[in-house]
Amino acid sequence: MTKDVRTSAISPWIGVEPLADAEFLQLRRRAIFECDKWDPQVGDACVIARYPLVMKNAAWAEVVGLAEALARETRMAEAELVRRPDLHDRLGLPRAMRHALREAETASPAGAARIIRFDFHFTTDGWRISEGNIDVPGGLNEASGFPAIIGSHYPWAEPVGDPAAAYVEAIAAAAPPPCVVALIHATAYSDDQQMMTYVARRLEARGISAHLASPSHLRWRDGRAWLEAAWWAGPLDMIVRFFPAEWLAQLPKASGWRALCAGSRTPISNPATALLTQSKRFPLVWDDLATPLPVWRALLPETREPRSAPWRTSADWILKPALGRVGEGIAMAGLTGAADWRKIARNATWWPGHWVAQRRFEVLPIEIGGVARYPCLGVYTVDERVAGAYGRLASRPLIDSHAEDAAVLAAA
Amino acid sequence: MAPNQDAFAIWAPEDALWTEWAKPVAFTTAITDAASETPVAVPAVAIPGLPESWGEAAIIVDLPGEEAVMTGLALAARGFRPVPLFNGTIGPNAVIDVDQITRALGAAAVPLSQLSIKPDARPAFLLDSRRSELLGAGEPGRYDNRWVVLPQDFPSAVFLGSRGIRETVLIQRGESRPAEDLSHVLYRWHQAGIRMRTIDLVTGRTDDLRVNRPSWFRAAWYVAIALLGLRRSNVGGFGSMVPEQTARSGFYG
Repeated sequence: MTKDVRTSAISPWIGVEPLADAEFLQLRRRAIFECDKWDPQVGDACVIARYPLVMKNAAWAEVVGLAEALARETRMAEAELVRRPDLHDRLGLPRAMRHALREAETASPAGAARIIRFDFHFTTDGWRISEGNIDVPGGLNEASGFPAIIGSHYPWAEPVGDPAAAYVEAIAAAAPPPCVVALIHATAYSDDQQMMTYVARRLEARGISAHLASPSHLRWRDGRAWLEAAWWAGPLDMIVRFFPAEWLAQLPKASGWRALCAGSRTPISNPATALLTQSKRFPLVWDDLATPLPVWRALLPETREPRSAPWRTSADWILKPALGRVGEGIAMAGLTGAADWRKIARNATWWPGHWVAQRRFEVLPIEIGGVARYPCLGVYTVDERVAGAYGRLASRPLIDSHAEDAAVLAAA
Repeated sequence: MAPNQDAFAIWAPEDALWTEWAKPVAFTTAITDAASETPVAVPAVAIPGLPESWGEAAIIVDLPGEEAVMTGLALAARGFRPVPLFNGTIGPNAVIDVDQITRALGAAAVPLSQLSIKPDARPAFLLDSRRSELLGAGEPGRYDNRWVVLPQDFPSAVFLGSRGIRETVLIQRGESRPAEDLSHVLYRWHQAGIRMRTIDLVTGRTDDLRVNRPSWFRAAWYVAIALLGLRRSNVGGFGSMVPEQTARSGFYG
């Protein structure tokens, strides 16, 4: 923790009782049909929580300040990194992405409705973040939808926001309706399409024509994006991208994907330059940036090159892939199985430039219904203002695809 | 309740043991309307070698779209619990015709609701065997909604074993081997000691199935690799290759 940024040591959580079975079954069905939650089950685990994650109002206010400061610092750091292609090699990005991002120095893509999710954890040392989902943050349908359907069971608490509403308003500000927006995603993944469907519905309600499409449906004319699909063709007023930037580099050159990195005159939320700060190796270039990053430095655990940290011998260090997401590919002593540990250790040894070692923090669990849960608070910022949050709770101190999704509420 | 929710409630009743695994995406369009579809009669499907519904077997039906739905209905009449695992997304001019499946689910809902199936009946997991077909995927402008099954789409071998399931019977048409994606599921079950059989509806043959270790077993980015391997022309939602890391299905940042 730096001298400048301190966080509270008082637990931010308020314990609640889970819903009874009958209430939960109704909630689950409403989550599926009203919130487009199409992946409610992962293996043997139900991933819809039967309780909300409830925070104290004062704790939420503290997190709001931290998240907005992180968002401001991220914008400034990204802008500087765009002008510093000499640092890109150290971020663990695919070669084709590095080449494309170099062009952003002279032709920065038009960005708008900038959305980020910072994942907060309350630890023995106060608040920490495990990552910023800066490229394409997911979970909007849960974050906006779940509080509305569970809130009536906990009337003494209030939702902390509606990030989808804030996002739609930001899009409408950048592309005033009536307008046409393409929601670009990996169309075959139902768990990606569910969020796009939810956002599209909210956009349509705002008078914005929304088309679900893949990046290969895009065409570019003089830097302007067009949609070229069998069901609709024409110019776009804005692009909402939910297709990971590092995957773009695998698309054919003819798709024009590089315009998402540099040169697009059509506003993009988010431009692919977001990958520069999305990389888990972003902290490794902090000392080379002029941008001060006091809140990032305070909240993100110490991060090192894998070769510079004793992760093989010390349980105090974990390994993360540079472009890993949702907690996958992380090696944590005591939690990662032996076979997976060996594989990750081998990869980090052979390709250290695609990994980081990070000091481990100890998340404080909360007890819900007599069971210890480890919470993660995903806080959304839209254009650097906090818009709401998304809760995930796990039975172990690692948030991955088996963690439960929970509404976030706040109370006095 | 909306019509599609009515249909889902019939296919995934709250008191059934396997309901949590039912995939809702095929029910999220209004096409899945049990009230507007003409109910179908329970089809008489000849399935040689079918185990008894009170036995130790779980069924996996891997047949083309509508046929999978109707075979599920036929199995329901024999005491199995059909569990729809159709996970294809819905989009305009889509590569895989999901509407056909949703209409069949709607049409079969009423007759299914009239059957008496025990809450803990043995499951019959329903898959669309066309889910990852190449035909049409390379045409410009198509909505690529091909999909694969993943181990996390099914109960674990531990869970199956806890419910007394010791055998899996795979029903296909003109195939004796499981599809590549399904082999990732079956191999895990096989490792846990679950016996495997296949039934081919074309030949009427039933054979023991030994599931070999699939390629990329437990490999990183399995989903993306599985899908990307199908098509190199990239007209749909994916690139031609994803670098090896570790991940789960799809992307969810």
